[in-house]
Amino acid sequence: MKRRRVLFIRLSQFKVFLKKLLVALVFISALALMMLSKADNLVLNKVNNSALLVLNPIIKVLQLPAQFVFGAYDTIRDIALVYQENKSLKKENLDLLMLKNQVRTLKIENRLLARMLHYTPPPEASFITAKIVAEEGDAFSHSMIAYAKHTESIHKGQVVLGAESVVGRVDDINGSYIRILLFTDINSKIPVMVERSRARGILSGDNTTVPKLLFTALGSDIVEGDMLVTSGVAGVFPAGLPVGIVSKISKDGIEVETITDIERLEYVKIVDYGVYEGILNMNGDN
Amino acid sequence: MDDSIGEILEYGLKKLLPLLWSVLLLLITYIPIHLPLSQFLRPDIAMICVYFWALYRRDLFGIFSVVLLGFIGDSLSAVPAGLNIFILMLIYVQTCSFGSLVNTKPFAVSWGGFAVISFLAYLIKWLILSIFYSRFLPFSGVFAGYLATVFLYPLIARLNIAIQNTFLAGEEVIYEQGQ
Repeated sequence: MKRRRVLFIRLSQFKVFLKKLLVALVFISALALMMLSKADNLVLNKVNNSALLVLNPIIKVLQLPAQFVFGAYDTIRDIALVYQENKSLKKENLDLLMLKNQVRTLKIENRLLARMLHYTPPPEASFITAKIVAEEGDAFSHSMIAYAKHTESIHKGQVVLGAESVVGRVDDINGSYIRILLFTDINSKIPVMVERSRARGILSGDNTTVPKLLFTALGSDIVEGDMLVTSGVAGVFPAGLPVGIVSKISKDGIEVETITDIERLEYVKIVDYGVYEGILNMNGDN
Repeated sequence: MDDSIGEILEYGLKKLLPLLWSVLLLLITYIPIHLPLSQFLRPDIAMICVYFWALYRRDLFGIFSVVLLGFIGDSLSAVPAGLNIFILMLIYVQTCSFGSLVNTKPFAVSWGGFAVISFLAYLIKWLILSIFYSRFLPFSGVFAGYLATVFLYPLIARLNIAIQNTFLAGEEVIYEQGQ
């Protein structure tokens, strides 16, 4: 009588097979996640937001000792610079006093002219100050996470200002935490214009410290040292906000230097110019 | 009864220690430190941790730990979700495959191994993101990040060795510099 063939698989072999299957599954899932994130998937965003709600408070606690160390370093450095700073501030104050008088005169003149033309001024901007709790920046992405107690009035796409200029836009909000996409990130595109000549272009981040000015018209009047301000073309950012200074013009492109020191950013202003509501209303009307 | 619960807890904690320690190190890298270039030059601590633990204590650092570290990295950064999981998994698989050739050798060899594996990981990450954004990312920044990661490896490895030899030494001891 012929014996039946029985296939024996050792348990260890089965375990190895399962592990290989699991590894393959993880790779496939990771690739699928990347595809989904390109499509701005709602479920994925919710999962990410839930993770951030857990992780951000931990980072907030972890940064307390670091804050103490760097705070002490800042204090010592500030003391060393206090005499020089005081001298330059006195000079700046004199200039500002003169400017103040000029502004007052121009304001009155502007008000009179606006009344003559029946001009309706845009709504006043309101802002929320948020504290930076986490920063992330390498060759692959540039973003920050800020904390604000009340985030109800903050919307995706709103402009974020540093001490002196635009630093980015709101990318995501989860609870009290706001993810800010810096304008040096590869995903950032800001319509800008040269303040002096009104030449327009797109300021495009490329994950370096110097974003590039793209899509400028041939023969545009741009020179090194020109100040770039938002042009307000896309309707997301209001016009006239300072963004950066043209630092280098070469055949490879136009490099732009940031005005605000992003590395030393502790607080940001998330500004609401009513643009978001305006777009919503327009969509509602349509 | 209490002893057995305590023992189970201790055993569980020991099993989770490499993961918890790695998560802590990873979160520390996201703390704003306000130093020049801190926004642009950041070592990838997760890569170091995955390589180290996969090399020396694979029994305590499984696929779940790798996925969790990658997921945390993905959530905190602005890169596409899944990218860090993919890259860390790649390092894990590579280290598991060739780790036995390295883990008994002097420290410099494991450092060299990390330099090679992390170079490939950075290259693949750069390639995937370049395809994702349909434009090449500046390679200089990627290379700077890679160098920062490789040069930080001895420090993080030393910390990991201290954790291993202090809390997990009952099972295995890692000797430094091929002692």
